[in-house]
Amino acid sequence: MKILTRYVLKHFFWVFGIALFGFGGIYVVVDFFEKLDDILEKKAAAMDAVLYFAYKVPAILAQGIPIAALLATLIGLGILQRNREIMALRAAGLRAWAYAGPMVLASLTLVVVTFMAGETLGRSLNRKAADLWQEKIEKKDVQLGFLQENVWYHSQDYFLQARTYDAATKVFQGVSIYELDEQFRLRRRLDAQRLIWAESSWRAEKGTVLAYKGGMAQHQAFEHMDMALALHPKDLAVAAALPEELRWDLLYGYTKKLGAEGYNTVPYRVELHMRVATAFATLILGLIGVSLGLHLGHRGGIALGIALGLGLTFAYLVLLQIGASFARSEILPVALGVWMPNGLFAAIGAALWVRAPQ
Amino acid sequence: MQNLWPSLTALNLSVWGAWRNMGWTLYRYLMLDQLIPASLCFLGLLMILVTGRLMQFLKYLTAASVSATDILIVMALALPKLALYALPMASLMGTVLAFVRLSADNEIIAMRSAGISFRQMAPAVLTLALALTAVSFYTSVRLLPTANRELKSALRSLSRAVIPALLQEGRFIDTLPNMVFFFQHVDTSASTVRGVLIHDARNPQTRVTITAREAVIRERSEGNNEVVLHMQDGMLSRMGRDLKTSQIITFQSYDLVLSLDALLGSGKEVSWKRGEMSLAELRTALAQTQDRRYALEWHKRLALPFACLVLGMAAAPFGVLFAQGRRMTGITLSIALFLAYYLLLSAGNALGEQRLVPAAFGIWMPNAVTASVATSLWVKAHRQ
Repeated sequence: MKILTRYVLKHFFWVFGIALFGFGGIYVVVDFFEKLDDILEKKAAAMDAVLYFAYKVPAILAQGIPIAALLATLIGLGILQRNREIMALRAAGLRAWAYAGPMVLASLTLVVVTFMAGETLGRSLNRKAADLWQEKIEKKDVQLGFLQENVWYHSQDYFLQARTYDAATKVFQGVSIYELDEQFRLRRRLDAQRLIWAESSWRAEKGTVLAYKGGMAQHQAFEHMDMALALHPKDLAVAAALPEELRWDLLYGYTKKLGAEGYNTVPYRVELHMRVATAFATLILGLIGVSLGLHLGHRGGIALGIALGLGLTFAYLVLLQIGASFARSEILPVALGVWMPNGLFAAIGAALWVRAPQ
Repeated sequence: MQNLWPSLTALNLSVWGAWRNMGWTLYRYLMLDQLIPASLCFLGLLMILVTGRLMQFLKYLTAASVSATDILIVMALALPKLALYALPMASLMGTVLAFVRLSADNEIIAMRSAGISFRQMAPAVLTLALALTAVSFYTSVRLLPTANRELKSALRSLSRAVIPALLQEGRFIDTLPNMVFFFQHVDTSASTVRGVLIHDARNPQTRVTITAREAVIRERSEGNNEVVLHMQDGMLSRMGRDLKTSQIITFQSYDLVLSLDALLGSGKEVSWKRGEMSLAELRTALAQTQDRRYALEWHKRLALPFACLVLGMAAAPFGVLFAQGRRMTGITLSIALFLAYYLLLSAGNALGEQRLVPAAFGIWMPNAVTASVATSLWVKAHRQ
């Protein structure tokens, strides 16, 4: 690595670290005091509360990275401008790319890091935090939903609902299985106390079958019944989580499967695009920061740069959210709604760069 | 000797006049230097905190009954609460950044060599800190309870827009407690669905499942808020908990009426939470219930604004105590002080709740600790 690159990056990461520390700090404080009443009211253990916030830190930091990148490029370049170092570099015949390029590349690296860290660490820890909140702090029975407490699963021709599913023993408790025809008429309903994975297929224990044929209902109790369900325990790993909590590649597979079954997959496709698009926010804000920084003279002006930068950031983030909600409600095509703000602001950043004194 | 006295007096007067002039210039200069980073920091933080919440508000934007104006109102109502956190941070960062710059540009050294001690810069720092404290005080005592109340009812009316939450295709929707809906195909524009499965667990003794070919979803808001699912061509099956009794009913048309008031609680609030009470109401509630938490909240309203004062005052020495090349340390330490303040506050709050210390002590302690830190830092910077 060139000495100059190292020097510029040192400035960048110094400011980046402090900005992230400040942002993360205030965010945790706000979050903490918002929830303090709940924590005290429910008499939660202090350790649980601490763990809860520790789990949330990565997700909070991931939200702060784009803004920290903006500040790091603006202030980092601003300091170099103020110390007349940029002037010296220009006098030595270097173009803007030589001293501002490393910052843009650092932002690009952060995009990859943010995305990967968010998918691996952030998402699972966030889930842990939510579970901990439900179990240890709220101490309430989990409501119906996708949670392991109340599993719902559907395939082409049946719906399955169970009170609990234990992934370790592969046992459902309190199961209802509904077989429907294409008109959504109930053909058969099976309720059983347990549904057990036996080697290669499912077996229901202690239950009843309610069948409806030709206008007559038949009720029949059973002790054991082998079930031919097109369902493998590994499918349930996906069914147990809310789609928002799935890793990107799993969600992609899930979305394809849903699409193949003829369901509307727009919300999931928006989610898939949004995860990538928000990671790119770091690059775009970094580019805007660098371009504004190049416009700053050596006579200060950092404050003006930051004011402009924050204004642009605000517009960008709001537009990103609005684009996503338009995509969700199918006013715009998914890719267009999600990526339009990115395209627009990348263009603004590039235009600022081109017009900057090189 | 006789001639010396008048000339000395004249010299004294001219020095005093020069100092008065310079003092005023210096004061204005320092004020402006702090004001710019402080206001930037304040606006930046507000922006970051608001966009963080934007996500949860915007999901209602596409609901038919919610306009962009509603979203803007909700965001504006969330501002006072967020401003209470952003103001102390702005006071702290504005001052520390201003003094880091003064020190980096050797202006502090220039002032000292001109005979201006660090202590003489106090009025400018104090003015900004007091101004922010006043703004914070007004926010905490006046704006906060009103805005929190308004926010609560605004959010409630938003969250009662149940229909958009229900109109999702191919997923299990558990917006309403103890019920799960599944719609195979959804036409959002007409609020009609095809392929309906509804699981109703409101009565724990029976598991009721309704399936239907199609349904229309309507909202009725006159009188009490209701959502009506008008289903066609379907079946209702019931299974007792013991799995011994069962029922199947086929229907041509069936209306499932869900009262939102019964499911989500009535929209009319009779009691406010502590964060939504004014100071007088907190006092009354304390007198009636003798609950420590009202006392803690009352003190918090008065004590928190002073965070702007003590943190702002502590920030100035952080800007000048560190030599060239270690200036970032000052900024990092001041952020750490901000976190320490709130850590102390939550500790004091918990101790006050446990009745281990008086409520006033628990809440005012962080101010006292930070103030003493600020004083010792000023002494240190003055002697430097």
